[in-house]
Amino acid sequence: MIRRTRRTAETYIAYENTLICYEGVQLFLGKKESQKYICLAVPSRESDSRFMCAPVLDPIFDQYMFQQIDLYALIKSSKKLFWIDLESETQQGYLLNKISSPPAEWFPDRQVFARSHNVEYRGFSAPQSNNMSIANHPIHIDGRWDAKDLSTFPDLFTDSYSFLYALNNSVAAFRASVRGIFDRYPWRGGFSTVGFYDDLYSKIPRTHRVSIQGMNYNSPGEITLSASSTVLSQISGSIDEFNNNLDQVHDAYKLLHDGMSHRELLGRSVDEIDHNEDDVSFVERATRNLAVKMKFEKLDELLTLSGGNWIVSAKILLSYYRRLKQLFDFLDTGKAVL
Amino acid sequence: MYREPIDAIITCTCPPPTAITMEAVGYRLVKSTPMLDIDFHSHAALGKRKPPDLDECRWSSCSLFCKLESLVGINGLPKLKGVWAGVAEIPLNISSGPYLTQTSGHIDWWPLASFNILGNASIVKVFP
Repeated sequence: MIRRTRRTAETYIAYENTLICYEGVQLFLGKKESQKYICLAVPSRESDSRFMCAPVLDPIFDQYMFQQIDLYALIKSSKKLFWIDLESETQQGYLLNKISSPPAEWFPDRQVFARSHNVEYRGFSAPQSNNMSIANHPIHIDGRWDAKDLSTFPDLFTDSYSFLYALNNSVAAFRASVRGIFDRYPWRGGFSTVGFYDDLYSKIPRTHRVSIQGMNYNSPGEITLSASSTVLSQISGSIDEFNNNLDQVHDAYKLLHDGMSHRELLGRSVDEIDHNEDDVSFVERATRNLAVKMKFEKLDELLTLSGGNWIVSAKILLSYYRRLKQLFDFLDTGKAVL
Repeated sequence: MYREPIDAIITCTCPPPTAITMEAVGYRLVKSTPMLDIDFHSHAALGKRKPPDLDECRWSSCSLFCKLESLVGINGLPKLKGVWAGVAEIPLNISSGPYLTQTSGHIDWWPLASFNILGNASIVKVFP
């Protein structure tokens, strides 16, 4: 049943981290230099200590550890599979023996998630951040939610969260990782901004991302989100301004948007724009005005990450306004309260 | 004093000084219903090979989970499918013995010799 193929070179892995230990070791992480191997105890008539090992990519392993995929999907993500015997350790480690078609009984059931680990994984270091404490926040929901609402609300919320998180986390390493994102986009408008928010999201440490911790779908009901309290409070503060002074916030947006449009600063990338001091002076004043009106407190950080360029900062703030307005419109239906 | 000879462990302090006896419950898979004494043996008592990254004290603990759903996953592992008869709930307190809750939601428990496990634990789930 198990076909062994000829090895071109022998590969050995080291035992790195037990993950599940129940009636003996059931799952552990092996390593060959930086390559991770997930190794699962399997039934075998030949040995009681046989494991099937699959080389796994770091991002997929992270997905597994954060319970976004199950163990079956993690193992299936690998094109190559090997077996080792835990009783046959050599000085170099455990010899990987290639297998081409493992028996079906060597695979775990579906829905075996990392929550079943009973030994801590020591490979994650706590994300560095200042003033970014993560907590559970109940979002009160009401009315009838369509399936589309269930994707719209988190999408709108996550875009705003990603943007403000990037501006709030001032740890140097994180700042360096997001700086390029602020430079990369041409900011011609329209679709050029879509990837910006996704890219920012991808830089947020996984434990600091917005995740749904619980959901009670009733009228009224509740969605519990895990998120940075600082960021959530800033989004909530801006939404309050939309609630209380919608016309003034919108007028400030229109002033900046229409002024930049009139000066032909919007439809072209920063490199294509031919601007003068008067243009920059107008953009700075109108941007500061919009920031105050929408209670956006991170203008200095936005300007820094935009390389001190007021036109880029203004374009990003206009884009953020539009996302926040969409979130406000959704909340204004009464279906959710931050 | 303890159910297993953890006093003989010299490589570390066992149970660890951080172990507690606050009231809680833990869950453990059992191989038969009614439960047997062997269902609560540690890896060390079962003669299993200790992995290099776990200390002897932890190896000599009775492994429990804080949440039932975590145990359902254990039941889906290739070598453990169809092995279990059910899930036992064990009350943890000062009379059952010290325990340590890991960040993974797992409990390492060092039962006292005086604690009657079979008399205090109850079956809360039976597998078909």
